[in-house]
Amino acid sequence: MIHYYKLDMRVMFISEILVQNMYVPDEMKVIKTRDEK
Amino acid sequence: MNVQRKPVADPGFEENAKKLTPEKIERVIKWVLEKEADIRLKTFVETCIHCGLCSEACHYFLSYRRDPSYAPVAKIRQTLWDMLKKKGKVDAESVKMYARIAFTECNICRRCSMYCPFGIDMAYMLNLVRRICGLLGVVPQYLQDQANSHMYTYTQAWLAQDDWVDTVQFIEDELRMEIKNARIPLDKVGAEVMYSPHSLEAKFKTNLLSNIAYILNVAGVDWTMPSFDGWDSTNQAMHVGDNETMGMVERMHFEAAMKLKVKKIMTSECGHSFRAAVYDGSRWLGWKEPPITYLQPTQFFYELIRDGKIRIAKKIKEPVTVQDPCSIVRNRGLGGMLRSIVNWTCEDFRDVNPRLEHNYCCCAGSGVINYGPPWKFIRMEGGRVKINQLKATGLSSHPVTAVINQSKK
Repeated sequence: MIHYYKLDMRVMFISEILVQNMYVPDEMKVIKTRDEK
Repeated sequence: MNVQRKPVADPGFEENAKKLTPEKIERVIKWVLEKEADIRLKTFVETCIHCGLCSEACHYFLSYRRDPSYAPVAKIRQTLWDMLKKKGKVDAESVKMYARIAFTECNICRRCSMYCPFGIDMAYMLNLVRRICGLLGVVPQYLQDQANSHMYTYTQAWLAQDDWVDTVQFIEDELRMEIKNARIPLDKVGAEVMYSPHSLEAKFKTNLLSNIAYILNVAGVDWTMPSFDGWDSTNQAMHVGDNETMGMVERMHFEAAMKLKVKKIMTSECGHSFRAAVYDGSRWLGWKEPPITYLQPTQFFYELIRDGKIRIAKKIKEPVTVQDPCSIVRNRGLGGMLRSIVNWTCEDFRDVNPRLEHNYCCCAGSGVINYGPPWKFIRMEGGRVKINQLKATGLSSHPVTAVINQSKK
């Protein structure tokens, strides 16, 4: 019997975490960064 | 041992097995086991005492409710030892069975090898079985298609060079809407780092390439990518047992870096790419280590944060856990760096158990995720122990991974 497993979790890559949380100097920003939108 | 498995219709097995003759099968088996296999095969076959201690290490054995036919030693017995015992005189049905075991019931994760009291490398032996099946053409069709793509395009996803350059330009345009004067520099000679993406980053996972470009621009890294063949870090030919194509792809990859005179290569967030370049590919080409420093993003990002080139502005508040990719944690020891990054960027990190090199395989690696719809439920069943492990953390939000396949789980 085959069971279907589903996790109610979101997978994130290290790069995605860094993009969301790294410091970006104001002079580099064109518009609001992704997480500020 | 006659094992029963749910039938799966895969033309790569069914149609190709019809073309086999007993002479061809015997010739290929003898070639691989007598001419290509090294002293390890004889050592391992004569050392194994069939104690079965490897069983508890295998996620397939655990996920399939401790069915003894899924124990690593049983898989070797049903495949390699069967060929040795019969001196290669086996029929096409047996080859199909070998292929099913080697391709769909083992992720070459090496957890069993780590737990074997004699240090027998089961993954090496099942790779030999994959090599035999690959030479005979009995391979999951979807995987063979991707290996064929490497032969013709040097990429996994049938991408032409103009597709690649167009995609990079498109991503750069998008990135400039967020980061002033952001660049994705192609063919910059003498750069510090060559980033080598996954094929899919130029197809339907362009957000990953965008993320990498975002980080490298903000961190001020001197980087580049080739616009020509050799940019793709993937190597599905390795999983098929097509060592010749694997070597050709890796040689092209390193030659691209040498043409650009870069000091380091950073591969994509992909486990098998790293394995292909650092282990299987390099050694097939005759190098003990890659000719150019080869970094996985986990290591590169760790160094950037440690050296203050990336500063963390805020942390993820929701609880997170990690999945340790076999190719970079069990086989390279990067689990500590992965956890350091998670601790630096997340407020509530809850580790898994077992962890680090003892962690279970995600059941997606070594090409298994790429076998397509015919094998989807077989694969998912094999991942039961991993799912239960993640559920046991009590999380409902974020597992963090460092490689691509696991995101498709």
